[in-house]
Amino acid sequence: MWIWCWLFQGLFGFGVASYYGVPLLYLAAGAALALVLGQRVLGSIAAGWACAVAFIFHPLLDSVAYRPMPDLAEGVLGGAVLLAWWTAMQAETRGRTLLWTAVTGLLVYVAESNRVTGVFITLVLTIATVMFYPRRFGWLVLMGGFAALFYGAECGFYRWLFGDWLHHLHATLGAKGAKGTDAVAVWFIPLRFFDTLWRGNPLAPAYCILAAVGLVAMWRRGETAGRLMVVWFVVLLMSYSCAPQSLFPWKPLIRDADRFLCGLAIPMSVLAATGLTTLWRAALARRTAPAWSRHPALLTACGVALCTVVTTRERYDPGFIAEMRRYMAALPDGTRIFSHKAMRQIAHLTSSRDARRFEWRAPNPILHRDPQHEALAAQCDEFWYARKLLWLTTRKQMEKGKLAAQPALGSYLDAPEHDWRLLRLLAKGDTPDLFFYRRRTPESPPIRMLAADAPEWNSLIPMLPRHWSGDGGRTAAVTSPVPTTLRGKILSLQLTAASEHVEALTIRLRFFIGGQRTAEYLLKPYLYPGGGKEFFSIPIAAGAEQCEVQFKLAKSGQSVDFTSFRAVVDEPVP
Amino acid sequence: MSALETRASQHRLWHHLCAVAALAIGVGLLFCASRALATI
Repeated sequence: MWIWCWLFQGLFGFGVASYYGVPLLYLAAGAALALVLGQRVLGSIAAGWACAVAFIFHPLLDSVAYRPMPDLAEGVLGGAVLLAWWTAMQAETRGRTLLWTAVTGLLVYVAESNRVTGVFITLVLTIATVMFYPRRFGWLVLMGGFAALFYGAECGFYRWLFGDWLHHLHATLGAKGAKGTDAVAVWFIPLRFFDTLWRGNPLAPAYCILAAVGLVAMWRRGETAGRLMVVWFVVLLMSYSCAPQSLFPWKPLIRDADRFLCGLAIPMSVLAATGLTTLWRAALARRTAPAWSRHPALLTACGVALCTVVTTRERYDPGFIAEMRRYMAALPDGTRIFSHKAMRQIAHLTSSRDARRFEWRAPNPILHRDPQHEALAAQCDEFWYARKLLWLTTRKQMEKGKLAAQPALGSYLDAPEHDWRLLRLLAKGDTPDLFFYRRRTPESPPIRMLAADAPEWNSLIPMLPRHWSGDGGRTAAVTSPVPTTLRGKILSLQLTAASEHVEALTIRLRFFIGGQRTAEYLLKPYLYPGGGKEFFSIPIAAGAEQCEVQFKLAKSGQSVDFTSFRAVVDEPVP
Repeated sequence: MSALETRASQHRLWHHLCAVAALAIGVGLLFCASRALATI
């Protein structure tokens, strides 16, 4: 996957093209594979097009169709492996068989190297060879030999680079016990992803029903090509569902998330297209097909239009890009920016030309206090961070119970108002995520702080400390007028709280103008058992009149101890 | 199928592959959500 990012960077330079180019490339390759497989299995180019359109809009791709993630790559590489294996199995000459055997071995290695679950396709190949081409089992062994050869070369490379033959496995050994890999009942193991397949988006139930119809129809037809699609889908789904990361207790290797099932997108699309053609033929059993149905191009266009309307995949939206570009463009050459690695990368993706004009001090990580980071921050004119990525490593440690209490925060996060003004914040969806501070100067407006008992809150903030266990319900909401002195400002909130559960609490803020909701923000504090400080900022629209604050516990039985609260008011840049 | 017919059939398939790839890229661009930049 990353090689394409690297190549696109060489071709188009650093920027969004290298980011979006990867999923677009895999989406195109996957659609082409679905077309070829669909044509081979269903015997017509029109059916191939139905498979390709079904792949492009597959609900499993919703969360990976717009970003470079290994899941989509795994699905496409799996399809390429299967096609190469199939070509080898059907080749009529020894030379062609050897060629496609080598290609299959190479693709199996690339699929495994892309992500370790890519290796599941070998189980599909093994079962399919035994079932459909038992006399060619020797060629399958040779495919394994080629894959092992490439794999050995990679191991040798890691040995040279890190002194560890199995670095690629050892590097990920710590990724255990992640969210969504909890032990489940044994009978439920093969079924654990059915819900994911059914609920992806409004198209998902149709895909499931059509694929189920197609699966039965393919198997009953008895042809190798059709049964191969069934074996591919079923074996892969069972591998994703049942592969363990620990046996006692049994815990799944793959956590509950739709994107990990992308390997199913091509076979499921072929099965769904089969189901559609089966139902269509059944409906026309005693009638002649209407004239419009004899135009494959028209049917494809209708399918694309229907899927475009029904899917809930996010439409093109430049989001924060334009605003962040404007902010960056207004800064002079040589501006010194203190940040962290991921934010620097976002800046380069947003506007590589501007990002290269600045002097970056972007170590990783910067959440906790470190004298070297303090010294770097002191040299800089601006301080930027991306909240989610700033917390990422620490949040994962918290989820594993490795951090009972919060280490001291960097001063630029603990009390940013001393040295910095928050000039701009950009939201990702309903969550403020990108923060842009500028160093305070003697000309800067004075620091404006609001304690928990400030009159601006209209008694909105209860007496602290306070223990909330959701006895009266998991949700508590309060509505209050927005003081005129806060309208059009950026409000930074600091909360000291503790909980046994990292994400025990969410806070939703809704702003209203004339009774109409104009903005909504979702804040997700990360809480330590021993307590810690959390920090958020929200922009308040100039005309905001009312604000509804809703506190919600993630699950009943959880609780939060609030200790202190304060807020800082900043003027945004025009 | 004669060699000529096979070649013509392969030629047509390439046209379809190019068209389907273009459709995939078009649909991919239509659903490019820029918020993704902050999620990786």
